Amino acid sequence: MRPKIVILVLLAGLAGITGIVLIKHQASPLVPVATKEIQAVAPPAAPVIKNDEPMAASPVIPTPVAVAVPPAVTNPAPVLPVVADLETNAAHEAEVQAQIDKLQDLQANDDPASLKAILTELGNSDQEVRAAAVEATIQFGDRSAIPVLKDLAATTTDSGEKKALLDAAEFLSLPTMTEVRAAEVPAAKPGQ
Amino acid sequence: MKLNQVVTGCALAAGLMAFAPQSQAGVVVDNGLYATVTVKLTVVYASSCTQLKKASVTNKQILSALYPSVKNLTLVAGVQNTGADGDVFVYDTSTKTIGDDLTALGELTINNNEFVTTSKVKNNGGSATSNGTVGITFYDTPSDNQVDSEDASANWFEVSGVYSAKASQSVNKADTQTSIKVSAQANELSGQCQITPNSTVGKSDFLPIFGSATASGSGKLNNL
Repeated sequence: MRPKIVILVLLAGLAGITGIVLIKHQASPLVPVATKEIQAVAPPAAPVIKNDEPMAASPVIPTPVAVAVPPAVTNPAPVLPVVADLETNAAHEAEVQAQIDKLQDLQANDDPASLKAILTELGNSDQEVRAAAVEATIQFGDRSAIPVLKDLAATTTDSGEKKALLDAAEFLSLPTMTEVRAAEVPAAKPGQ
Repeated sequence: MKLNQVVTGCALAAGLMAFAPQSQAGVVVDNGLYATVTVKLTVVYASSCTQLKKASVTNKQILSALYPSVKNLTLVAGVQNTGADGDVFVYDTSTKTIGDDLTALGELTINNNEFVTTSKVKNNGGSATSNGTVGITFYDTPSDNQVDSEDASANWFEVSGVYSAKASQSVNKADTQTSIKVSAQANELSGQCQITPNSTVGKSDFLPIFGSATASGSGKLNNL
């Protein structure tokens, strides 16, 4: 072979190899591109914070925590009944407390009207008021309430309330300390 | 039992300490809150025919021993901003006025020893509970000490037992008013008493006495 032909063949082969390499290089561009996109989404590396650096000086790092924004309320309706219930309960509690306060005032009196008002509350629809009425009846201290207490006990299905009513009736049937003293002091005088 | 201790714990938790004059519902006088106290005791004594008998003691017997001719009185305990929180006062329900401080006079005293307390703090207030022992003493003629008070008094009793109490308070949105609610009860009190001096009622000087006591109240106090 002539030297010119050999050189030509070698140049052609070199050109072919170079072409193949170039084609291969261009056929795989996705990998570096994808990597670049992921890096753009990921947060930057957190800066190193020295112990003597104030926290406020550190840059704000955007993190996925930002998603913790409260979700939009699409249906606020259930909140309203809850608020309404709370207001209703508060109003009911205030009403009950007012009735109890009234009973506590009445129990200090001695007039029939006050006793009647107390005994009326023995049939109140609220258990707390009924219990306060029983205590007010005891504190009022009029034995004419005993039959009322016993009658109510006979018709009450709640065992706790029944016992409270009967206990109140029994307590009222006892002589008071004042009565015992009044009865005993004159008796004691002749012996003195 | 000093209800004000429970409420004070509540108030401290909520950071509320100061109040201004004026009043609302419940036993609130001069912007001070009082809890109505009720005493229900049973005395056991031996009758002349050697039978055991019982007699009752309520607020009215205590008050009639101290104020024989005055009606419409009841007992209240200072809870908050009363000047003597924890003391027992006479309250006239007809004039809505606070009378004598019976604790200061040595006539009726309620003392508690707190064993367990809990408290919860909310945005606009809080609540607290208290449990422990309580002692209640009554002498119609108090003296310098217990023995002298017993000797001098025609009527006296000393009872003690376990109590439980709870309190809650909340501040309105404008921060101008505080609502307070307290309640306490001692259901199994027991102790000794004397109904009359040199009486034929009791074969011994000291008679057994047992029963219960409660205190409850609520009201709105204006904030400073």
